[in-house]
Amino acid sequence: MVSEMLSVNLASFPKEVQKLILELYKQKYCNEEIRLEDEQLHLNDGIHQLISREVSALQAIWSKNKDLYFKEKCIDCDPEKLDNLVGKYGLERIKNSVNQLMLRYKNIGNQISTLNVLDEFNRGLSNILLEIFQVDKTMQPIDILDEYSSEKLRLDSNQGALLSGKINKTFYNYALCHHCYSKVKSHTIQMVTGNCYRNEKDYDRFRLPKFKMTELVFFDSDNQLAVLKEKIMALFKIMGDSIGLKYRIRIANDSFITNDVERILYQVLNKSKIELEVYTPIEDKYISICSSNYHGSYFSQKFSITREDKSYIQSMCVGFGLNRIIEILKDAGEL
Amino acid sequence: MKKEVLGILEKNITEGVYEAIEKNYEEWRDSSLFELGIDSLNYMALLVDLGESYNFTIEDIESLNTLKSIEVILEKYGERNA
Repeated sequence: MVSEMLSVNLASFPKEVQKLILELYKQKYCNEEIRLEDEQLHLNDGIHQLISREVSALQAIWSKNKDLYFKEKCIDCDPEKLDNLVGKYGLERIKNSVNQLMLRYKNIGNQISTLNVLDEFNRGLSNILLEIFQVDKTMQPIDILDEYSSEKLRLDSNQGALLSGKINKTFYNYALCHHCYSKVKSHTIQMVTGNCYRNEKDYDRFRLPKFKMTELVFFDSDNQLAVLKEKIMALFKIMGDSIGLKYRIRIANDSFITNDVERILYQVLNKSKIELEVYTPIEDKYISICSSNYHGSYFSQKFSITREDKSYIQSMCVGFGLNRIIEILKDAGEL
Repeated sequence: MKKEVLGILEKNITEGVYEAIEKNYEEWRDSSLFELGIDSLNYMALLVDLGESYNFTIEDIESLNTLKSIEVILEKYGERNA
């Protein structure tokens, strides 16, 4: 007997999310016929009710805060809504500094060594960040993460992480925020600048084996981090406007780190990772130059970062890829 | 209502996190569910379970951020079903 095909409406989700939902259920029910047509998930009677319920819950997660920042049925932020955030936090005052910083490096080309450019640009960027955020501590860690943190973060199972020494199982910096978690005990904002290393199959000028980053790492309550996230999105808007190339600020995901579709889907639904992506006509593609990532309790559970009442302090970070920013500014300067 | 909330949590979240919530329930009543160590997968399971048991609206589900908010919704639906 052939069972009847029923449908679940996914029309309230952006196309990218619809595809992730399809992928999730195809993986979960690999023996069932499931397909996506005209924004409807078509599936058999036997799993219809369960999936309908789950999709309702997914809808509830997606609808949280979506109207505040995003275009209708889209993972891209609405520029007008971000302009409202710039006004809300009085960040018009930094527009001039950001414009001047970007303009200076747009015209610099290959005149001086990349290392000097990175350090000089970073000084300008750091001053702007210090003007927006109340940073408690700045750090310039060494290139190798300690064994304790490497182990807690299970870098040995991360194929992108680069082993520094086989005996003591330490790793080169995968992300700079990794240096903060073992030391933090309370609400704080820390700024970290240093080198990161990635073990990749292919490299190009936007995907280097070693690159320089500045990261801000935030530890606070859920509510406070939501405020800080709005400030970050407003800063992305100001930076995007100042570069002079087409850009978008949108929800991203860690599909390059994990192939766990369920985790990727929740990351997208929760809008945890937001990136500023700038289009370079020279490469004909969008390049992510800044990325903010909301971790929730993920790291505070691993490192027991708790308040007095033992509830977990939430964390979030935002990274600025200095090499990528400079490359993008060179492209912008050439056009 | 604490007993009902704990009953729902016990079915849907990891054991260690549940035990910590049970122990600190009163202190953590107003904290965000994520601050209690509930991750997005557990949160999803919780939403699906509540959706199935009570047929909540999307607005109800959206408001589920704290232990207290779960109590409020359970009370609302308890009264409605009484």
